[in-house]
Amino acid sequence: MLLPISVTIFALTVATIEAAIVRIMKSRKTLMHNQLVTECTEQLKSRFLPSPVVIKKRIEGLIEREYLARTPEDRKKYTYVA
Amino acid sequence: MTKSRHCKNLGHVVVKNSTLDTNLQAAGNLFTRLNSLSLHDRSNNSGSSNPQLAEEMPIRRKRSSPTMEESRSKRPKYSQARRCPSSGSELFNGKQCIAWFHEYTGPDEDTLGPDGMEKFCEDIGVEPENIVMLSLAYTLDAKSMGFFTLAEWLKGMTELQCDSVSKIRQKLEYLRNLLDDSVQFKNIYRYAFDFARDKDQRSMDMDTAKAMLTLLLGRKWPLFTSFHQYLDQSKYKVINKDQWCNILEFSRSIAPDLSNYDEDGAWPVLLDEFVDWYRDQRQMLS
Repeated sequence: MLLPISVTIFALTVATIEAAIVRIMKSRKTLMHNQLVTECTEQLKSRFLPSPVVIKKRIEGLIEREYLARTPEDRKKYTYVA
Repeated sequence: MTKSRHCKNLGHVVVKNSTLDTNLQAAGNLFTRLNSLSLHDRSNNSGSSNPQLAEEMPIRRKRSSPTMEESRSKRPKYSQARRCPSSGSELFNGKQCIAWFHEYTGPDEDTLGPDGMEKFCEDIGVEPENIVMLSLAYTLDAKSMGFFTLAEWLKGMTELQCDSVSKIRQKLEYLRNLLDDSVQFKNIYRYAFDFARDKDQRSMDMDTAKAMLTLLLGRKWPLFTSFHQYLDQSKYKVINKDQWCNILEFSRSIAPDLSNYDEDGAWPVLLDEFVDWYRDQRQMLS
């Protein structure tokens, strides 16, 4: 993990990753987990390189806050919650 | 005495009875609606309309019992019991159901609390922590663990067609069997999260989670003991709904030796970390 230690920068990183996830999901509506992680990494690569675990944690946070949900038919597929 | 002997013989019939009751209640619903041409209250048959229905029901049953006898020639004892005048208490009575509720609360209270719950559990011969109580709460669609509102009680007990201790005791087996059906178990499991969590929080605190998981998965999931140990030593203080639901999925789809566990399986990090921990433990011991 290449994140700096500073709390402020960490918070910014969290916000950046979350914004990327939401942006991708808003445009794609539904997406498989792997695809979401790949696209998120792609979008952010010019700035920093978050690990898949970090992205996954952000996905979970967004599920909890009901920005995303798992689809009932396939728990590996996410759907954007309007 | 005679009645209870009947009931003992007809143990297996009780389940069919409830299907019949449901059909009769549905017929009663339709009858009421056609009569009153009322368009409201379509979505449920609970609440204030029920006592009326209960009063309507006796008439319906008397009319249809000759037909029942024809088609149920296999069960002469059953229709005998129904026609027996002393078994008037066989028919579900909404007022009796409400009066029964108030045995566990103050006269004007509309919520059954911890004291009442204790007495209720004593009456039905089930410990409060028995999983059957969860099944019952689910049927009542109770919002909070340890409490039943009058509305929840009436809705659920009407569905179960129970207005007395003896009747609910006959339904205990049905409630237990709900848990054996995999779809129903999943529903009950998911319901348990919102039921048991602190309503002020979105997540469930770890102690409650561990207790509920022990109750629900303790006997079913070979890896449960290890998972419980893992939770004990983990830094997690709460479990959220997504983690909760995925724990059940994990227990159902991943083999006890984790051979089919996939790292790209979109499992919550909590479960990925459990797998790491478990593998480390196994390695340390070997």
